[in-house]
Amino acid sequence: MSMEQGYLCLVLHCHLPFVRHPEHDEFLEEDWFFEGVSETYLPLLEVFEGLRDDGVPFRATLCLSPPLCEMLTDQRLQERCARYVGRRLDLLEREVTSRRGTPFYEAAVMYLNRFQRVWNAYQERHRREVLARFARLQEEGWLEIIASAATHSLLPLLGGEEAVFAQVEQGCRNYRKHFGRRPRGIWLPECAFAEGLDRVLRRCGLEYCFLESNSILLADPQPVHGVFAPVLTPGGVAAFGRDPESSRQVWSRQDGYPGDPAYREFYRDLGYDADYDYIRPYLHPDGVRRSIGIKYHRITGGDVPLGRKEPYVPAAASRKASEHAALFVSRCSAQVSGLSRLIGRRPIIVAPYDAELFGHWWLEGVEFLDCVIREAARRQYGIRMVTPTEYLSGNPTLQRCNPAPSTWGDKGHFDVWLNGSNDWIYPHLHHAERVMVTLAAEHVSTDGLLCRALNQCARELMLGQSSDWPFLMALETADSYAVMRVKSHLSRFSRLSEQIRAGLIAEHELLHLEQIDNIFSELDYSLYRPGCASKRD
Amino acid sequence: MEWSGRADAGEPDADSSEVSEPSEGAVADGEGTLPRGYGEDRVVAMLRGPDSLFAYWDLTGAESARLRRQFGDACEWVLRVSDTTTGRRGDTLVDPHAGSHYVKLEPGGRYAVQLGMMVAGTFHPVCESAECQLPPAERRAGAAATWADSHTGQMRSVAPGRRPFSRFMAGLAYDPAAGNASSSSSHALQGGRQAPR
Repeated sequence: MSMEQGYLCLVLHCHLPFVRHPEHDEFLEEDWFFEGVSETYLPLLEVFEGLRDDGVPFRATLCLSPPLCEMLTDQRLQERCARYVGRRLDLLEREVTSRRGTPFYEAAVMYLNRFQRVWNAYQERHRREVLARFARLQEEGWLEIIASAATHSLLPLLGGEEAVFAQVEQGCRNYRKHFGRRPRGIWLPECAFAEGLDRVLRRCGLEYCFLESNSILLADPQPVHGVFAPVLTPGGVAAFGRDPESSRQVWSRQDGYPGDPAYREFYRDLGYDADYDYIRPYLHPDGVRRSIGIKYHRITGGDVPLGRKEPYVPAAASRKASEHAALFVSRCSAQVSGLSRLIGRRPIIVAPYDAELFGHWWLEGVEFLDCVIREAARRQYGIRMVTPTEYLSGNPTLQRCNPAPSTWGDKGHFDVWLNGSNDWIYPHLHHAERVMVTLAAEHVSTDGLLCRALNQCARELMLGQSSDWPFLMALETADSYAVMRVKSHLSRFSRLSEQIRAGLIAEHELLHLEQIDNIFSELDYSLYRPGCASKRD
Repeated sequence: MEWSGRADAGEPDADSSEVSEPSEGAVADGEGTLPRGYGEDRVVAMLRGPDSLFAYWDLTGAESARLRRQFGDACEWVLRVSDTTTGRRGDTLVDPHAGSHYVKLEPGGRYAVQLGMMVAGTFHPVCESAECQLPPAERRAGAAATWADSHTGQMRSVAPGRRPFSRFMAGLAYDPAAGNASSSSSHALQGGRQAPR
């Protein structure tokens, strides 16, 4: 039995942009939320509850972003999510019948079982209160749930400190609304860090954050322990650095686990393969063929064209997930063993991932995580899973370093969110921020219609600041939707702010905006008041 | 396995009728052009990477109008980028109507940007940005490490490790000069948020 030699901090970042369109019966982009719930969040919840029930001594750190929390607790989206899962179940019942005797039968049965579990969990066991179940796991000590910025804005690209403070503080207040207390840690959107951001985090009462590897490795002075111990920033916040090795094993396009030939192929989908008349009832009203999340082929090989992919074999993929999990843990153990001899303290391996990778993009990823956690719990590996708060409690002495500006985007730079496809948004967003700060300064004490209008201005601004929009523009996927979102929120903000200045607020129009852009019922526009950044709620 | 209560496919969302209609004259989603400027002279420098920043500007304010009246259209608009640490600077001719420019720079510097008119070799600034700190491209030379308690902020003394950590780091696959070993965010979000119309 190995002595404990180091720590593993597994961090899962759950985020989706706030996509809610009650003005339409169905809206394509809402599928992102339904897919997230059915393919990632509920399966993860099932894993965590299973680990707890089996008495596995695990810990995990989970960020549930404010937009995601708001969507998970929105009654309209809950109803639509149930409708989505119900439709998939209808289709899968037919699929299981029609695929009997074919190489695809096993996969059809697997999908049906998965969606049945999702349905039962969502509708009956959890009664659609997914967030409350995660909260309970935190209260019981298994999870540490952390906050993020209000609308997942890329904080270093905002126009001024008031806007940064508003995003961070609103993220903390929204966290308190859902979880009953202030957060201790924060997931910086895209791990984006720049000089001075840590001071804002500290003002909001935050104790730690996560940064990209090179933000720590290029810090001033150079960190003695690399990314294997957090550093203390000038602002007094502990910054944990991402471990490159555990990231590479999962994220690498060349040799990451998700690319194994046995795993399910993401791009070959029933929405494109099935007979059109058969699949038409399960497509969106426009009738355009799209992915519907039921995929019957395996990756087979990196250079195998989609039309020649082999049938997916769930049992073989499951075995592979188990093998990869054991490999991941043994590599982590070797890392920890080597590092502890070198650096004279127990190293911490920080392994953060976008949660949506697991279950949606990489179908077997949730099973992989389950296996990793169970494997890591075996004492032979000398690894203890910890949360950041647990680590800091036992290891409070940190090296003082000034991290370098960075993101976890391509090469650690900011250009994914700032390039020729999306740079046009920033002059307008920054102007809107200045207007919001001015309005907040001019209206110190308000109530009634004026207060509602100012709060809605703040909502429109925050929704326009989401980092998802420039990201989608850069990827050229759903970019027309992203452009529409930014322009819509800017135009709504502009129109409303002009009405406020003119003293002629159109109440019916305000009501419409409050209904369709209803994020953050608790939002208080005074967050933007100059000087507010020096004190918090 | 039985399940009950699931919504039948194709049933319209009964709640959509509860959303009030927008007012006449309200801008429809995504429509309407955004203004070209906001009536102020301003230049903003935004961080992109170790060797790059993005500058955008607005020249619809009083100062730029005054200079145009004074010197006419024959003068050249210049974006001046200054390293506020070393004092070095560089000038780039820009089209004032372009509204923005991408600037390549030395890594790790702290820069401020000015936009102004060059008239007979004399620079007349119109507006200036805040400073923008670029990250370094490679690891810094070793300065003495200092330690503090993360809860109290009090300084602490710490015994050195068994050997310099940099020797271990040299053996890792990660090389900041080559970029990250993986690009996490774009991978996941490509899969998770791709919803082409």
